[in-house]
Amino acid sequence: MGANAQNAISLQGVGKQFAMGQAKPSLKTLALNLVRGQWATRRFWALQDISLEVPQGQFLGVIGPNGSGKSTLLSLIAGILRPTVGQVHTQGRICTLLELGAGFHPDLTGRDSIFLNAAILGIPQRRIAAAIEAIIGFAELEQFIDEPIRAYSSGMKMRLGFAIAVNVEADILLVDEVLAVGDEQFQHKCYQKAAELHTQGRTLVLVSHDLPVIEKFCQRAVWLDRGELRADGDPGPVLREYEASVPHADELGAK
Amino acid sequence: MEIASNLRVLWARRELIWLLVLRDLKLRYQGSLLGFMWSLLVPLVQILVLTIVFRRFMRLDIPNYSVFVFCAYVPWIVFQTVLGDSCKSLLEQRDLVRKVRFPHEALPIATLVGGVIHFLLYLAVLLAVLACIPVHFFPTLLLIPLLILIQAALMMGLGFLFSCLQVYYHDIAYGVQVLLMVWFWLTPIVYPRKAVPEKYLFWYDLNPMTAIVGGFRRAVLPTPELIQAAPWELIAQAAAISLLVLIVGYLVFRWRSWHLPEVL
Repeated sequence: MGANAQNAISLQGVGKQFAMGQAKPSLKTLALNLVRGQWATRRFWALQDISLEVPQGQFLGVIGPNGSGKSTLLSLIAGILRPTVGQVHTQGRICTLLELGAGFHPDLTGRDSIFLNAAILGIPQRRIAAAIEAIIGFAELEQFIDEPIRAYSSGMKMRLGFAIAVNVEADILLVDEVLAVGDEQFQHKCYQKAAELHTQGRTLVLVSHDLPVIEKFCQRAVWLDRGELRADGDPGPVLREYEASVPHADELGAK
Repeated sequence: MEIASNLRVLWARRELIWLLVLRDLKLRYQGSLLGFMWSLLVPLVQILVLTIVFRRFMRLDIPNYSVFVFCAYVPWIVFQTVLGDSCKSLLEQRDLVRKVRFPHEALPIATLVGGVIHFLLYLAVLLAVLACIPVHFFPTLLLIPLLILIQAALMMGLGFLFSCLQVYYHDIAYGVQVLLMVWFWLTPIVYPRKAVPEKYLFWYDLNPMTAIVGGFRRAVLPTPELIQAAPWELIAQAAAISLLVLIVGYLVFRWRSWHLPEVL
């Protein structure tokens, strides 16, 4: 380890293979396959030969078309998935900003959801109890916090998820395409918070199609294309190269 | 070694397990006026019907028949509920499993803990009913915690197995319903174990629920006959089988655990 102790995230020659087609074959298909002698399922590489060192305190933007392996990369860093080949190392506590709805049962109140979400992320209840007012305040949900989540708009759910993630003091924050939902004013608040996290030396990996956001916040961008690392470096050049490869890039970039 | 570290992680995450239990209880009874009363009403009606059918119609000659059934039905209803719920415990949380890293065991464990809490509530009702009926309290009641432990091990092992297999094959939940129906009649709940012909007893007794149900009767109604129906050897054998099921279930679950986010 020693040599890359200052790296918050380190991936070495990482590849991830998934089984394709029906993950859950019915008994009928199972029997048919058996008769046809098809035992092996088709497989494909979602990510291939990814090596990436993210120093502590760096904000890394991940771009690429749909299906290029961005979410798989986040899941590997988060330790949800195990790489098929290669090694993933992380230093410090990781917090995944949950996609809308995950961890939030529609019948639970906002307050209960905060506690449950924190528990799932591994944060002690007493710590969350101390931070709960800050979370509710940040999400601007004071009036609705004891209402069931099913009454929340998607923007409210997003605010709640974001408020939890930034208030639990994780060393590594993984964010998958969620900021786009908030209104201008809340987005501005998120950016302020992001700047604050940056000065605190937290590491952030942001997957987004919102290129200006990546350019504004990240010190580095990687471009994933069909599971492979196509470019890695300063956001400016990487984004322009990416834009040049995508038809109608201006529409995409302008959100 | 991997197992030891997994168990340490689970212990460190006990707060999460407890919150999941509370959430399940809250969601189960939320929005119903009678709440837990429903969970009570179903078995009570069932016991009433069984008593009428077997006592009045079939003229089964067993003293204190309703208590005889009640003692056995309490562990059974918990068993049935926990196994039914276990099939859903991972599947209903697919978002969590796919999006966050946490020990997946927490989900079926939370289902089990919820079941044990219901167990204790049912027991409180059973003992309250017994207090009104002329049966005596004996120190044999101390047998009950041991029986709960054995049954919890059995339910946990099957819970691990079913929750994880259900992710791969949705047939499991249907299969479990059939299994439970057969299992109900192959457990001496509405009839005594002595009704079973001797030559079948070896196989019959491999079912740990036989000893658990018999043990409950023995604890509550320690007549010589009921003590004889659930001897210590039988209880020990049930404990051994339950432990084996627990170990197998846990190992299968551990083996599939990393794969779950990919298939859910």
